[in-house]
Amino acid sequence: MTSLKRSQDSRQYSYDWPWVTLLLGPGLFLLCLLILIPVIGTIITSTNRDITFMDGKWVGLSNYAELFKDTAFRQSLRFTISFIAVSVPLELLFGLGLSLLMNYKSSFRGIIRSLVLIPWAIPAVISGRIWELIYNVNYGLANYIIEQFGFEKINWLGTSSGAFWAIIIADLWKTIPFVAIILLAGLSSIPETLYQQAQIDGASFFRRFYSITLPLLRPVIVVALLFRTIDALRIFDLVFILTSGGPGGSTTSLSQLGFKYFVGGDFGYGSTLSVIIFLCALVLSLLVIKFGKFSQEAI
Amino acid sequence: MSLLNIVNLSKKFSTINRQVTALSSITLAVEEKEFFVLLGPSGCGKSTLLNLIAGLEQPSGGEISLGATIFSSRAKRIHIAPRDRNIAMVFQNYALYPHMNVAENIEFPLKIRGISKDKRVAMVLEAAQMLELDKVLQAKPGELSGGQRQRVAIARAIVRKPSLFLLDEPLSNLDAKLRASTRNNLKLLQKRLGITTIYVTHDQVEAMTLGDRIALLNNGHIEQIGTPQELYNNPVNHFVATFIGSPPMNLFTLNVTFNNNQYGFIVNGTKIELPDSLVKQIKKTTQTILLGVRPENIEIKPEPSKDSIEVTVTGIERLGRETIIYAVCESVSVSLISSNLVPQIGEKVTIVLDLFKAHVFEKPKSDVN
Repeated sequence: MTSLKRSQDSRQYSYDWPWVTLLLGPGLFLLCLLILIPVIGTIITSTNRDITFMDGKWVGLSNYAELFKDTAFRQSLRFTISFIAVSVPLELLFGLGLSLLMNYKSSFRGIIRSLVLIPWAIPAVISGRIWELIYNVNYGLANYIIEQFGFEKINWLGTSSGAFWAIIIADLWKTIPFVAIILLAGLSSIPETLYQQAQIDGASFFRRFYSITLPLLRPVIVVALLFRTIDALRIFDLVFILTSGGPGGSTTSLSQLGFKYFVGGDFGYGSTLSVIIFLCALVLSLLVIKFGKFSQEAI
Repeated sequence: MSLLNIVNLSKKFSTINRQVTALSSITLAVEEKEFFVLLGPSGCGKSTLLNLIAGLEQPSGGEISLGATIFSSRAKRIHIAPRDRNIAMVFQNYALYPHMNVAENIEFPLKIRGISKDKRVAMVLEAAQMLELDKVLQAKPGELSGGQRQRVAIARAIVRKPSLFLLDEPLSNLDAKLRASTRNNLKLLQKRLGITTIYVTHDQVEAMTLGDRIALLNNGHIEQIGTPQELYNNPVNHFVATFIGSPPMNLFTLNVTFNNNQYGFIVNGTKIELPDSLVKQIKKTTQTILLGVRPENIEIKPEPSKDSIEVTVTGIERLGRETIIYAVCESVSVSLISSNLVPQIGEKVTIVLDLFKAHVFEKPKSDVN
């Protein structure tokens, strides 16, 4: 067992600058080219009026001002926030349960682990289409099962609440395995002897989960939380396939809205939206990193 | 009145293609307040036995009981979970909860039992002081040395005064010097607290110094149970004889001769007589015996005599207080201990075996080393 001693190690490295430039240079260059420049470019575009068939001119922050007054923006912001608030906790909860199942020593462990990854591996567009068929009001599998239990058909994609939950369920199906895999990595690193010791110390199953599993899983949970929150913020594929943002724009996510603007040729406005999404993701990441206590406890 | 009773315990593990018998017909009884050692080579089943006593595994057959309470019995379909057995255990890697500090680690079993905060603090402090941990109560396991971590594991075990204290090779991860001092302290602690203790080790020195009684296991069964002295002086078979004692007892395969109403054997042309005490141990029909002589019962004599054997020295190990000498005679190796005469390698010396302190064993069906 290794221990991480918190020693202040302040050795001075002497750098070989030519080597540093040569080895890090290409990587940094690509990073700039593919990330830094587009981001800065988008920020610049957001301060312009950039519409296909009109002359471009600098408008400062008036795009932002207009956006905040825009009801479409407000609606999509509401939807995106609700989506994050519902899907992320549910993903974490069921993902945790699934990972515990996947960690349990049984003869089926290998099979379960392989099967579980399938939903996540299928491209979103394809699974989106499949779910579209499932949610079909008259011929879909979902309503068929519901009617077998004696309930009324649900107009999944035709009502705003139905569409909301349709997207949530389709998203959960895809992302719960992903969360489970991340958490499983953390679970496997908890030594079995800790649980044996806890058993002898008198802890019940739930006590062991609460006092050992959860605290030691915390860094991993934080990572999963961060990934999923940012992904949920940018949800696009499912919305595009299942509802195209409808009915009545009630399930338009921020990305979907941005997409509409770009397709419509309004690059300035679209860029503004992109920048806002970017800033939200940035703030979220910083918050989680600051308060998530990433430090890996040493044994 | 014995406290822990194990009767005819057995444990089999089944995998897809075969079955492994880890333990068979284990019967032993541990007295109250006794320091009982389970000793044996790797794979002999001693850790499995400890896990069965703890309740972490269920037996395939037999019964374990503490006093009047049956812990596990397959036949009677009883199995009490570890948490309800009021036992404490220290694992080889200590199993300290890494996210809790020393005080929280020690108080964990108390917290689970719902003991009030004030009482907990007092009990933790008492245990910590006994193990000299009162200065590091706020530290996390990652910040402690190996010896400190081990003391935390012990403190956590004794804090609630369990009926049984189980230890699985707790000293293996410590360096030699720390091991010796910790051994001492452990023995003193056990005597002071009077908790019945079962200790698993593969180190016979540990077993001999710590145990009130030792059970020597081999391949899943018990070879002998007795006090350290009993195992050393009266081993029942060659396995016990060679396992206990360092350097190990010499075993010689000899053909018994009977001339002039005297039993003996021939080495290097010399005929050596066997004393009556040894002859009593040999069955009438036996031709070949295993003669066991401990290294400290072989002496180098300056001059040949009636019962002396000439050997050639092949190796020397100086230990300061004494020297171990390895020699060979007719391609049979001998090891002996000498405190004064230290010959050179290659030199021929005369040795005499103290046959009054020797043992005779049955030659086993399979070849012995």
